[in-house]
Amino acid sequence: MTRRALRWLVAALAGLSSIAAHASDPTVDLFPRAATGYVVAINGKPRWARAPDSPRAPASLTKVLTALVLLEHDWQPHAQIVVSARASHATGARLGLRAGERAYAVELLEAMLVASANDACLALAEAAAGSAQAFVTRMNERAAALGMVASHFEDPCGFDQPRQVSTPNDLLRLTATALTVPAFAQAIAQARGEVHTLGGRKLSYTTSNLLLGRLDGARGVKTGHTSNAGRCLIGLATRGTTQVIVVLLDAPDRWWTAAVLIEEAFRAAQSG
Amino acid sequence: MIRSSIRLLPGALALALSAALPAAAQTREPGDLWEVTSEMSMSGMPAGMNMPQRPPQRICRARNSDKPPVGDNDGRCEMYDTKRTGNAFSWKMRCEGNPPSTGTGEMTYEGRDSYKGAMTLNVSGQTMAIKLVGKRVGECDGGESKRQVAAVQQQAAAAQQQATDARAMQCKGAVDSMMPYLLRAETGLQCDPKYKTDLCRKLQTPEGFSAVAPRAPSQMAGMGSGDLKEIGEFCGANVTDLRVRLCKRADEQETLDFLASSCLGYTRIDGSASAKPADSFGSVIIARECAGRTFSSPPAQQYRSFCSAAARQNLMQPVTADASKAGTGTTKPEEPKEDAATRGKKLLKDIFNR
Repeated sequence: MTRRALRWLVAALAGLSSIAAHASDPTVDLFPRAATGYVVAINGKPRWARAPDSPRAPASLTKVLTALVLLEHDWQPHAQIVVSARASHATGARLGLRAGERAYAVELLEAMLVASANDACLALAEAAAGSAQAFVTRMNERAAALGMVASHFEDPCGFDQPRQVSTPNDLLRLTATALTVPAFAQAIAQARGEVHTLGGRKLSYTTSNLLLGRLDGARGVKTGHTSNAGRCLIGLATRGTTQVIVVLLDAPDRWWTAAVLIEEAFRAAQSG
Repeated sequence: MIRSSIRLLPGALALALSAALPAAAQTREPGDLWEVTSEMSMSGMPAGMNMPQRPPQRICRARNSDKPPVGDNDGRCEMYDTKRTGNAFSWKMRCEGNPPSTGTGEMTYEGRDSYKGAMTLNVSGQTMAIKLVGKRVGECDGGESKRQVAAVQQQAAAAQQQATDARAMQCKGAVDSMMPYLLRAETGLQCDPKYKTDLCRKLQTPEGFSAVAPRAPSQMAGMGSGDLKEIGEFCGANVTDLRVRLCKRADEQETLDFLASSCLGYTRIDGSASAKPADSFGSVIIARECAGRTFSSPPAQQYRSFCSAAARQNLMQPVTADASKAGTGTTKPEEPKEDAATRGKKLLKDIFNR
């Protein structure tokens, strides 16, 4: 009696683990309506995905690569960055920097990552490489070195361009690398900040990431939105020793979607 | 002083020992220790050929026992129809073994210290004759064997009870976990039918139904997974009708946990998978409490978990052709500045209305 019951239990467990294995197959799209392209990774391993290698406009998720390139190339946090006229006219999310104003690199970097400030982004890219275009060359070189084979960048801040594309898997790889840089990990977790221009102006900003402070374990990373890209997000959350990264490209309701996917991922991690 | 203490020591030790012994061990019964010699012979055996003889056996028998002091082959033989007439005993016996055997025996006491007797055993059609000679060689505790038998019986009863309890626990576990497989006859568990009744009654409750509703069918042929279809068949219940009945009540009473676990995505009309979210159980609450809520101004606390479940349910729906859209090509990264009210209306609208 007991032996038969045990045999059944063992077989049932084997069956359950086969279901679990199926559910963990990265080709399985458990959430078809989450986004046009998405990937959910638990402790670095992709768990669920939809069109994970299909290129799409990444919008301001681009700034993760911008930050990585800045931090890896002779980064001087207290360098004084002069805001160009072009940078001061950047559209979309912005701090309101004026042409000719100077500010510290580290403060501009944080504003770029936390508030997605395009004026700060452009000022940093121009200062680092001489021009936005020269900086983009560095970005593409770094992307290639990272193995982001389906990605190409034409704008350092994520403005739509015909060949400005990336994929959920490429952005996942990029994020995992960027998180190993302490200055990046520290910046993306902030909910608010200030840029103090050397002329004495104080420009305050708050994070564009609504998960921060609202979802247990949320650590931020990057938001993005353009007409081509739709609403995008790279979300990071950690609970205990489990880390979840969600990349969403064109997710109509990215906050609810990200929250649901992150909760599901932690639940899946807990149940093995 | 020291000498008197030494004199008292054996008595004290005896007292201490008797206190330490279990009560059963202290009740000795007067018994006689017999040494029994048996000489066997078998019918049809060629002349000059002898059966192997057993060495003398020592048998302890209580003085008031109604059984003769004859060996019982290490407990494998049972004596019955034992009769005593004066100094003489007669009995019948049956012995387990392969093959089993039956037989009769008799003996007569020659005074208090010896006896003579004979037994006849039939084994597979052969007859074995055994001459017995017994000699009393001392005294013994005649209750020992009784206690041993009682202890063995007690152990067997305890083991039997343990097995019964374990089976009951497994059967109850099958009900608690709503897994009918263990209640099926083929598992060999042989649960009382009341457990099936309990499980099927539990299925009719929100608690039981919601435990089963999220289960996916097992992917292994012939393997029970305890999913709704399997339990419905096991109980002979129409689970679609049951879902409609339970979910209607949950909708009316706003039992959010049950609605979230068992009703979202199923139509109020006939309990089938809902193609239109508006027809789904819970859609009224979703429209009232979840739709249009932004992540930064979330639903009221008591509806948050329910609204999250609704969002999850929606994310898992297949994508329809009109859900995909193409970009229009403007060039501002990051979301345009919108007032909170406009954004509140837009956000989540797609989730619940597309």
